[in-house]
Amino acid sequence: MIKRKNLILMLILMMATIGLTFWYDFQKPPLQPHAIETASSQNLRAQKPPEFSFADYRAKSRTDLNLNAFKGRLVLLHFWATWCAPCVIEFPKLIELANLYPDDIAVIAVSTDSTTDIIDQFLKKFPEDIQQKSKNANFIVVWDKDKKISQDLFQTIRLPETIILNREGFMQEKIIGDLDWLDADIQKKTLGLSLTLR
Amino acid sequence: MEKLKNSLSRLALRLARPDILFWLMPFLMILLVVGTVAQKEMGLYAAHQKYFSSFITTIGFIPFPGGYTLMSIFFVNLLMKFLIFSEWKWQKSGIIITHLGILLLVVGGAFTAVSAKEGYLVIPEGETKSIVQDYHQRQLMVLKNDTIVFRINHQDLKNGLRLSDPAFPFELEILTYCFNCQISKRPAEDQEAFKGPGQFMKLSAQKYEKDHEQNLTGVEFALTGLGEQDGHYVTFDKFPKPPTFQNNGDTYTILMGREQRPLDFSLTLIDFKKTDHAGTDMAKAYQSTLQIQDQDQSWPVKIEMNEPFRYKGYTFYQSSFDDSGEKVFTVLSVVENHGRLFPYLASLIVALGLMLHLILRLYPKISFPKEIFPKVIFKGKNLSLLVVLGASIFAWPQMGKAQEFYQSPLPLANFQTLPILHDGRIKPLDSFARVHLDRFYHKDYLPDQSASAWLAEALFDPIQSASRPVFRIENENLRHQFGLEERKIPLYSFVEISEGLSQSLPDANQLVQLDRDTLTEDQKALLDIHENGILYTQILRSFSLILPLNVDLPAPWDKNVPRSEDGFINYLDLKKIEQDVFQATQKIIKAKGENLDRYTEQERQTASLAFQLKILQESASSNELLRILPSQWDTKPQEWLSPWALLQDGKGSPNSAQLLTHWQELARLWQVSVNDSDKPLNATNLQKWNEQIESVRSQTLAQSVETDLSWRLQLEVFYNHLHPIEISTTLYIVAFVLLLIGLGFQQKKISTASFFIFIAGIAVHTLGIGSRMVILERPPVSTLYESIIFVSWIAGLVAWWIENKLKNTVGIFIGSLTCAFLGALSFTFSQGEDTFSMLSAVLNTQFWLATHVLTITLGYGWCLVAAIMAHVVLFLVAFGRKAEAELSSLTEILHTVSLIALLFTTIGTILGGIWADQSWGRFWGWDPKENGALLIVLWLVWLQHGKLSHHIEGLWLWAGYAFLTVIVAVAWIGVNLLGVGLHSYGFIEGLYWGLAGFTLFEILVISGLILKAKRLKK
Repeated sequence: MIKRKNLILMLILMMATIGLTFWYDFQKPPLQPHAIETASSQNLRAQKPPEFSFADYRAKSRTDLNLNAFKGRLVLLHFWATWCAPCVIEFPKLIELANLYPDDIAVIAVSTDSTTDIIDQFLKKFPEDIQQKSKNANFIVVWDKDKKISQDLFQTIRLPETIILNREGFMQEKIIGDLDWLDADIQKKTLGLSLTLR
Repeated sequence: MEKLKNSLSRLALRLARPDILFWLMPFLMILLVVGTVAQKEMGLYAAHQKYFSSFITTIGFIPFPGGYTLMSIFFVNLLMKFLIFSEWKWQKSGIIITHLGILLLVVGGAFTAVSAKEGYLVIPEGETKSIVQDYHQRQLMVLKNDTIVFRINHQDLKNGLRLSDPAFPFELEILTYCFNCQISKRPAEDQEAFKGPGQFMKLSAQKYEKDHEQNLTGVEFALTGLGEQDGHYVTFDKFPKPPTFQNNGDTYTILMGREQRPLDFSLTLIDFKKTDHAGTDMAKAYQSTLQIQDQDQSWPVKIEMNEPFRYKGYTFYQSSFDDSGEKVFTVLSVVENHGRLFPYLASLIVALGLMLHLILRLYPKISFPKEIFPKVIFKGKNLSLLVVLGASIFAWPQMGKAQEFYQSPLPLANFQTLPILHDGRIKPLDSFARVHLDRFYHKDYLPDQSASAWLAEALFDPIQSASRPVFRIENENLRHQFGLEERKIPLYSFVEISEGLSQSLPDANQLVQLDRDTLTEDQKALLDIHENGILYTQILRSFSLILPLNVDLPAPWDKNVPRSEDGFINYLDLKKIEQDVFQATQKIIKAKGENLDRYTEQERQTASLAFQLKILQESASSNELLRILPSQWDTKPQEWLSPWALLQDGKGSPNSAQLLTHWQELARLWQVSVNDSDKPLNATNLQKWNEQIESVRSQTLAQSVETDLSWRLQLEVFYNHLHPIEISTTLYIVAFVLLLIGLGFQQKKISTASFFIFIAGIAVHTLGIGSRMVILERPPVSTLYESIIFVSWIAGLVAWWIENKLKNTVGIFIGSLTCAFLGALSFTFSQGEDTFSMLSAVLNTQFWLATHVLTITLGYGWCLVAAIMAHVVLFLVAFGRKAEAELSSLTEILHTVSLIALLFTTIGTILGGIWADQSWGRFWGWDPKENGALLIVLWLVWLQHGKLSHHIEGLWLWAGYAFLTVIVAVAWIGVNLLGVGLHSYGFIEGLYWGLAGFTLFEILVISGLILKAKRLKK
């Protein structure tokens, strides 16, 4: 009465399914694991900054500068003011950083203060050695009189803000707020390995 | 022996009878419906256990066979049928294969029910875990030096139970056991006997929680045998300080917790990532990156929604996460199920069987009747009538568009296609404007302004916009509360309602704390007007940083601020002197205090300027609505920011500076045009306006990480203006009405026109669905709204196919009626909503949306056509238009349609199970949405088998098919109303009465037609 063909077919299917499950479940782990993919997107940061010229208000020899002059170095385009408390804390660390890597880093510290006297007074408060280091060729203090650079060109409103330009002169990242630039981890994270590798 | 063999044979033959299946099906369907509805009140787990994982249950007080019993009978019946009566013949092969597949499915289900174990793993970032905890099974455990040496299931615990075991040197007596304990303060007189935290914590039983996992299981116990440590203690699930005891250098812990199952490999969480839809808190994807360690081998894996990791019989799914604390945790569901491949193979076999059965049924061909309706149709074509009708309907939505140009000071055709990020996706400003205007005005256009013109005015000329009546206040009490005058159309401007808003602010602040469901209609209206008021304010202030300001600058400041060519200044200009103004004001206050009378005029002006700057800044804080500026700095995922948020978050860049300059120029041109509105439009200004729009567009798109945005934005604007779903619905309604007129007055030309209008409806409908697919870049069905318009479209196409076969207007009748009804229903879900909504993480899969969701909705479409067709058959019989015998061809095609419906719903349901297995770790969980889909399948199977076994014939069969409307409505929309289960993305509210009314209406119509037909027969 029972159709053997049907019974056998059903049993084969059941056994095959169970067999397949166990075969699959007890496979060895992949010897060459798949790489974990990371989503890539257009790198909008890596754009050239707008052209502009600037000068170190303290030195007549350093006028009519532009960013191209610093190609080959990491440029920290730093926006600050003497009335901004975090900027005051961060400023000497930037001087030290520029002093540590004279061939790799240039700091362009754009002040939004209303007069240069205020900046002068601020700089004079530092110990002598820091004051000296602030005069290094790779540390430029710019007075942004009408905020044409900081606000009109780069739209930086909250201080301090720092735009990092890579060695090819492309904008790489923007740091909002202050950083301890002398911390090795921060240097590695924000400025990249290239600094320590050279 | 022979006797026994004969008896067994007779028994087997009886067990194989088709009657068993026929009578079993109603029981299964009743159990399914009751078990599903009960989930709302009892909770999912308890309802599953009571109805589906039991042999005997009760419905009310009536005993009823449980899921295990019914499925066992079903299996035995089908098995006997397969083994005894299934003769392999070509014509029957499809159905035999289907039965074989279903048998395998049930075997797999039984295997899973017996052997599968579910649990979860919580892994903090950087940590390694290898113990799975059960979701439901609690155990009282004794740990010796952190190793479990004794455990007892919570089901075996009871008051007075004494526990002793060689594994531990003491005895425990359960004083109080509660599956769901309430913790209260222990009375002072009881405290002496207890030790540890139990001195102050008393456990007592309370009602079980609906959500099984929320029950707090615990015990109070007495411990003896450890000398001074003897006493009474408490322990409960997730108790951070379970009682511990020392004996001979060993530490014993009494722990109440979930059953723990160790794995023989470990998982370390390297990283957990949650990605939101841009600009929202709505999760787009979750991803855990783990390192697996099995003995000496180690490798990384990635677990995502819909992408589990399988190893050694375990499957790990991304279930949940917690990133609220310092450390991020991932929660993985872990399922151990060696029967999980059964559904995959079974589904394949069932799908193949059903398709083969359908093909064998369709060939040889069915003969189709040519004339069922009176001979009125298709003898001539009055295309002119069609053209006039079509043109007038197409012209309708365009009228508003023409008006728009007239009312706007500048052309907005390009402006409205500019991109903005809103509700998680980049859309044109036109869509943004429509969604918001719809909120305020309940329509997406004003009587004298298009949505885009309204938005442009609100952004560029907020003072004018604030005086424009935009707020529709239907609630009479609210109008009185706000002191508003009564108007024919209750429309009021922001200026008119602002006093009411400020006076009722304390009330609104209180109401916002409460659950909306508990509010009265008046309270809801008050809350809504406040929410809308905030939104409107945000829109009005979006550009307050670049619009001209009406401030008088004291002389010393005036010369320091750069002015535009018009002589105006804005906030950004003032920002340049802001710090100096603040410092000057501080000096004044320091010198003269806060009394303004002591200030000179100039000092007063300086202080006033500082105050105004502060107010401007504060009023714009958290103004994040108008996200038109793509961030240059955050690109994974890319943030789009409003102008104010950009400044306040420090996300400005050279790109954003340029973009804002263009927007500023647009605002200036708008204001110039408004001020010169009595003069003809200045060609230079017009050119500048278009150039600035083009600059905004090109620069914004260049900064967006999304590609192909430009033409998708334009397509969306075209879609918004065309209103394809509204137009196609109108065309369906017109086709239906014309058909009735044509049939009633026996006018061939009108009936012909109705056919062409119906086809025009399908064409526009197709355009709409196609556009949506392109705009959203996903398959056509992802939300309830989309499912309605897709089912409607499918029903239209099926009806067209039927019309082609029958050529007797039955197809037009069915199609136009079904599509018109569904089109009207879709409006319920589109009012005041952006129908282009984003999807939750589990739905973010093109593959399953394109397979399961499309198949199941195709099934709904075919079901509805079958149901409406059955209505037509019943109607024709009841009103004596044709005798039953003459309808055989029509019923034959009805049977074919229902078979195709069964094919799609079955495959769709099975695919849903496989998707559930991929995302949630189980093929079938008796979830309401799953049960709904199964209900349709069972109903169709019941009717098909009833027909085959001659239990259901004639009128009753047609009535059964007709009732599919209700079955589909319950499965499709009704289960979403329950608000329980894993398909939370589909939950809706408020359609109970509509669904109940529809069900009652259908019962009355169908039973009325049956009664009428019966009477006619007599």
